[in-house]
Amino acid sequence: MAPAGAMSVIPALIFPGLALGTSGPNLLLTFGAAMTVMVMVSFCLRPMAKRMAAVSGLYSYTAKGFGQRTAISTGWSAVFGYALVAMASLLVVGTYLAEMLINLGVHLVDPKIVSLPIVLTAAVAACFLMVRGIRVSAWFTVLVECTSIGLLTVLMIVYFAFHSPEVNLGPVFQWNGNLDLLSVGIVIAVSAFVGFESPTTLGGEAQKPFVSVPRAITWTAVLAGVLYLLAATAQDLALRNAPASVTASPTPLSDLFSQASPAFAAVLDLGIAASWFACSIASMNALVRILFCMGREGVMPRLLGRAHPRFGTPSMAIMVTMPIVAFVPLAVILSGASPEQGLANLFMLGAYGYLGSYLLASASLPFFLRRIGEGTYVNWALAAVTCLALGAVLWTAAGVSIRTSNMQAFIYGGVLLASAVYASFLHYRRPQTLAGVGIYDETQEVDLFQGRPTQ
Amino acid sequence: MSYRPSHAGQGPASNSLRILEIVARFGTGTTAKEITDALQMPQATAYRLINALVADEYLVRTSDLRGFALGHAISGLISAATPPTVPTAARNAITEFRSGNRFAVHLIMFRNASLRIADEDRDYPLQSSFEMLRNPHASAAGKLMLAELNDSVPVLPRSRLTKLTPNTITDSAQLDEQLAQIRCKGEASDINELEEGVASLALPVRHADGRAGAALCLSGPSERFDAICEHADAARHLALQLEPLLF
Repeated sequence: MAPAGAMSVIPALIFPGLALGTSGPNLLLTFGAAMTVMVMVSFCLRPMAKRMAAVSGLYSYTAKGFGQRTAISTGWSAVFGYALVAMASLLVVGTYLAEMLINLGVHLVDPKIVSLPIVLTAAVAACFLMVRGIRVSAWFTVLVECTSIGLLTVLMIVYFAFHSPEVNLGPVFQWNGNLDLLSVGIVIAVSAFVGFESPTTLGGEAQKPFVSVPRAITWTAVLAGVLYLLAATAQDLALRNAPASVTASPTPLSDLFSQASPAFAAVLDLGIAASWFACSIASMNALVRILFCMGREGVMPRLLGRAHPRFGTPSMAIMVTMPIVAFVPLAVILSGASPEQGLANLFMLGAYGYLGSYLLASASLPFFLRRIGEGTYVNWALAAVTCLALGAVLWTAAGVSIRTSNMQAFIYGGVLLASAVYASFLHYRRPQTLAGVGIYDETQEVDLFQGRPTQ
Repeated sequence: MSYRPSHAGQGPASNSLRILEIVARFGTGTTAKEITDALQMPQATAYRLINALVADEYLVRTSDLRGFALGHAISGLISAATPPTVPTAARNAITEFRSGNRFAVHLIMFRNASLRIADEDRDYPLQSSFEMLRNPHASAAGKLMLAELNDSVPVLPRSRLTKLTPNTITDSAQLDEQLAQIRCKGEASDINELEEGVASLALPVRHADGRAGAALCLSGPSERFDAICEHADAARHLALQLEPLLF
């Protein structure tokens, strides 16, 4: 998750006049709804995180709740989502760094010429950091995020300090009644939260996993939600007053600032790009973790389950997936498509993947609890409400996508179908392999009270 | 099946403890259902308490996630509550040693950084046993334990350095210095520190891995401390003899 980058880029994508046309939904409402849905998902994941130290998160939970075949679909869905967000992140890095050069006064005939090598360099750098080990990249991520959030907050305060007389909160809370676009907006807004569930993959390594993991999931969703609500309000205000040339640009927030001070805008661009670079690393880390796990379990090529001999990182999975992930943003830039349209598409498509895996994992909650003999009515109700909300968002978004003859819903549907076919193949042909899916950190001898006091 | 059914007005703390009792009684693999049935507790309450206990590692889930067993966090509680046991062979060796001298001979065990009286001399019972257990900095056995504790374990907080007699060491720097000496010499002593007029000498009884697990303590009137020290070699011999018997 890239809170700093997401709070600056994603609200602008939903803003009326950008990706969704002039009748786009209300920003604040969209983020509020997305936050509510994500907090509900976190409530569904919590009881499972309290009971099982999972190694690969949602995938492991679904395996325990619904069985291994559904887990395969959840895993593929999550991999799809992570990959798309990693692609989108690299594209943002390219777009914003090119914008930074322009703001610094470098004259570019065509921003493409710069974006291409930037995306390529970013992909190689991310690869290097990840193969060197998760520790390096985790600290790097935290540093970048904190700096960027601080920077953004300062810039926002400065901007509003200069423009305070024009601020009018009225339209921010207005509702234009377009439900279809609202759910498309929610799907994009959900991509800002993506990765909030990643603490669930750390169950095997955390100190007190049954305390820290559930706490981390809920608080990440709530804190990120609050941050986004503030950022969405601020940007709604700022962009509403902005001229059309700004709102139609691929980098609206930075254009807004460049009117006042190009240097300011350049700093902002750098912050946003760094945050998204960190996001691409985080998504890739989560992605290769699942692939590595699947490789180990034998439901993906064994090659992916190979660890680096010196750093102990899933280097094979990184090396195999990075070229694919880097290729798509390069293709988007080369094809000459507008970056904001490309971004909205990539985020939408990725969000389908996430929402699908969240839906399956949330739905598995009551089955998981029933399997271990701890089912309660409250959990059935919670899972039902969450799945209905997620399902409604997905359904409407898919409907809009089909009506506007957009391929997104079909692409994701194809992925789901392929995963189901593959899971059935495993079920009938290689049942032993399938039975090994969903490993978790089981109770060891040392965790038990040994029947005698320690001296 | 029913075991001390719950009554109205009992709080989560006592319910948590009763869940532990049930798991201890029913053994490894006790299920959540068995616990709620036995305690006649609402399901949701029981599951919440059980998962809180699992989070703190007082309970662990068995590998199928259905059942529960006592976790390793419980061992600290158990060892604090159970009286130390001394095998008969060790007891006989100490009794034989007692008959050979006219001082009090006690065996004090170290548990979780506190002292436990394992075998008290019946002829010369400990006069200030409560003060000794409460103030390890004031007695020979206590200082031996503090000296042997790993450096990472925080030694007594300053507020705990109570002055029991004018000779009790209450300055932490001075205490640290003395603990260093004790580590060097491999024995500890106190003269008029715990109780006016009483002196004692403590020798370590070690585990196979070398850490001290108990102290063999000789005590008598302070003016006869030199005479106590004459028995040091014999006591050290006994301590070595006790090692395989106790640990």
